Parts: sequence; C-alpha cells; structure tokens
Amino acid sequence: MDKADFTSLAQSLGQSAGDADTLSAFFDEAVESLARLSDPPLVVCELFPYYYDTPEHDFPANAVVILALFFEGTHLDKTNVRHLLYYSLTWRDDTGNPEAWAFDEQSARKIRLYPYPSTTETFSRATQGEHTRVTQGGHTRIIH
Amino acid sequence: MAKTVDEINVILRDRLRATGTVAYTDAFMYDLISKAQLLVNAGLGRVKTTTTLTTVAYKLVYKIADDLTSAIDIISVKDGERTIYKLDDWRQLFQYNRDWFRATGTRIEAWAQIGRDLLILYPALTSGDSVTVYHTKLTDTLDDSTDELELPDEDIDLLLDVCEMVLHANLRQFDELKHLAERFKQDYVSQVASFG
Repeated sequence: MDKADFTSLAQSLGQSAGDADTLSAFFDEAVESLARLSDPPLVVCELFPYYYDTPEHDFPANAVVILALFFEGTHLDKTNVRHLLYYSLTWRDDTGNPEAWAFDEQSARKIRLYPYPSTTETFSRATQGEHTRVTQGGHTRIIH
Repeated sequence: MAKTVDEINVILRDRLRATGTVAYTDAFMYDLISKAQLLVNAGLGRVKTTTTLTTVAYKLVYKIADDLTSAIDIISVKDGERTIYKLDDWRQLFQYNRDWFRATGTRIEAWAQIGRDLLILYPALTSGDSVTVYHTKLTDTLDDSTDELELPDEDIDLLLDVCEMVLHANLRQFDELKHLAERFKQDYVSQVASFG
C-alpha cells in the first residue's frame, strides 16, 4: 500500500472530507515513526557516495536512521566525536581506509568518516565489482 | 471449509444492519475483506508457504519486497535438506566478522533479517544457487464473490471484527467502534495465546 493508496482509503473512509495536505503530512510522520522502530519495516541498502579529502558527508536526504555503513565491505563502527579521541589524538587530520563513522556534533546532519579517505592513500581492500570508483571518490554502502 | 468473500460480505451486512441496501459497493467490500485478511495473517502468521529464492554470486543482501514478493515474515531458510542457522540479530555478523558484507564461502551458514525488508544470507557464494524460504504468506487479493479466504475458519471472527471496525469508523459510529476495538484486542491476544 503506497502513499496514494493510503490517502485514497483515508478519503474513502472520511467520505472525502479529509484535507489532502494534512493527510500527506500525517502519512509522512507515520512512516518516519515506523522507521525509528527497532525492527523497522522500511529498510534499504544503497550506494552512498564519498569524496576524497572530505571528512564529512551529507546525511542522505531519504534516510531516517542509519543502521550500518560499509566502506569497501568493512562494517564501520558507529561512534561519536568524543570517542574518536580514543582512536587518535589527531583524528581530525587522520586519513586512510575509514574504520568508523560518527555524526559531527557541531553539524548533526553530517556524517564524519574516521579516518577519511585521501587521494594519497592506497586502498587495500578487494572489491567485487559493485564498487564504482570515480575520480572524485567513490561509493560505499549504506543501510538505512 | 474455507469461507468465500460473499459469505463474509453477507455476515458483515447483517452485523451492520445493512441488508437490502447498497451502502457499500461490492468492490469496496472485497477490497476491505482482502486487506483485513492480509492484516490478520500478518499478525497471526496462519497462512504459510515456501518460495525458492535464486541466489546471486557475491550477493548476500536480498530485498524481501523484490525477491520474495509473497513473504511477510521469514520463518526458516533451507539449503536442500539443511536448515540454515538463524541469527536473531543481524548485528551479530559485525561481531563475528567486520568484513561480513563482502564475505564469500562454499555454503550459506546463517541468515538474518535487517528490519522487515532485507534478508541477509551469509556468506555470499561465488556462483548462483538457490535456497528454500519458508515464510508467512502475503495473502492473495480477493476480487470476486466466489474467491475463498485463505485464513482458517477459527480466525474469521477476527477478520470480521477488523472489517466491522473500519465500517463503523466510516459511519462515524465511534461508541460501537470503541467497544469492538476492546473486544478485538482481547480476542487477538486469546488467539495468539491459543495457537502461537
């Protein structure tokens, strides 16, 4: 049942007295609430682009909660900026294959990769064809 | 013997004292009964079936909505006669092997669900194969008066209650709806306790 089916059913039950904008907003809020459950009904696994020499990336517009992030097949630890200090005192400048990710607390809708991929690094992990390396960076996998 | 859509339709009209009238079209009622059956089965998991899932080389994440189109809840996965181990939490894979997302092997050892939508078969195989998935069934759409319901007769009362609640909401009969919702809750819990 997609959004159109839902609003159609709601209008049918409400004898077409429902406000379309309110119904639309109600549906969106309900879907977002469901996505926050521990066993969410709507989960996708898709490519997430990253860029060389860029420690922070935008939170995907269609994501509510990130369940997992993979770089070249490695499941990255979810951490926070405070804990990154335990990884390295120079964590802000460290480059290499990402091992963890965190929300930067000063800009909560940004994903910070630690360490972050740099063009000067040699990426060692084998790929299986799904990874599309492009000049400005590449893609990693994200489940949300 | 399974009830037909027409039999359910007659019972509902009797309950709502809507006999002899055309308050609702047959198409509306069939759609309502169809969705109510799906809802009750999603909750109780009565109607089950098996589906053969063709696995793809190097792939271990499968989207249930695309690859198992009639599945609601996966109960078990078998490779031939071998039952594959179920992981209750897919995060166990992370604790077992951080590189699980690209792991390959000679046979599938474990399966897990991420949310309700993704199925993990771990590890991936290096060539295509197939597994048998036993799951709760997304019941068929009912669109004809002679279509038979898939739910067993002992669950029909719950289906009738769901339909009746929707119709009471439609008629703005909120007192009746409230009483029915309370009864439905008790009956649902009782059915789950009786049959698991």
